[in-house]
Amino acid sequence: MSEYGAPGGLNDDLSLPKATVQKIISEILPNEFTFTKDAREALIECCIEFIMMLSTESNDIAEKESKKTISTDHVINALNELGFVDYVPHIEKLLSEHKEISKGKDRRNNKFQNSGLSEEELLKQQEELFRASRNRLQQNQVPVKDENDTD
Amino acid sequence: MSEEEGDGAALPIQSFEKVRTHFPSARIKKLMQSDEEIGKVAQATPIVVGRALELFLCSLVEKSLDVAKNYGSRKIAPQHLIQAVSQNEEFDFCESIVEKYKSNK
Repeated sequence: MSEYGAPGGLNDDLSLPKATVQKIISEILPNEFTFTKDAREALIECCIEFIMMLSTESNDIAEKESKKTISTDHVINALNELGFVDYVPHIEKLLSEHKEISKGKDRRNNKFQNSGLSEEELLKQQEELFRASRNRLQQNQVPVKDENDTD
Repeated sequence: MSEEEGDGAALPIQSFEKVRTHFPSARIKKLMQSDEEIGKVAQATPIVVGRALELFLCSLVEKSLDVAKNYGSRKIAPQHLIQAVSQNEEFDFCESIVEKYKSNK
């Protein structure tokens, strides 16, 4: 018995966007096939149940590991436990692609590593910048507290 | 449509590659946390759950389609869904849901 809010669209927040479901269905089906309205409704209900079941299992696995946050690893284990072994290779592929993208972003953002300079040289540059900035301040004779300059 | 069972080389669930639309992860997260037992989820988790859902949808739709084809029907009706569900163990949790639509054509 489902305890996760009334099925049949009583709570639109606790449902899935119908348009998204319909779009995905149409991407899967060959052009000449469609679902009847009732079959589509049944499908959506099954989807929601799937999510709740996967969430509960993932949660149980996380709790067994004394973890408070459900990670993607917990979800993968849950999929295995629930008999959706076939899904796992797809998910793992996704995650490794995601990691590649994240790594790329980190590389772009880490300008210090990318500058190709050693730590010593970077420190030198930093000191130069401070010196230059202090000089500018003295010239402008702005009474600014030095402590606030170091960001 | 080819029916290759347990093909180790290709990824299972062929139609997954065709799916370009994705569920909004915020909505997935909301659904997950509508259950009070569910606590915090990592940022990537609703995304992964969403993709798993897409796989589920692919699988169930593919199998219902096969049933409908066997009946020579272009419209996939609840009865086809019911049969697909009963034929696959991993869909057992759907049985009580689709049963409700039994008499509907």
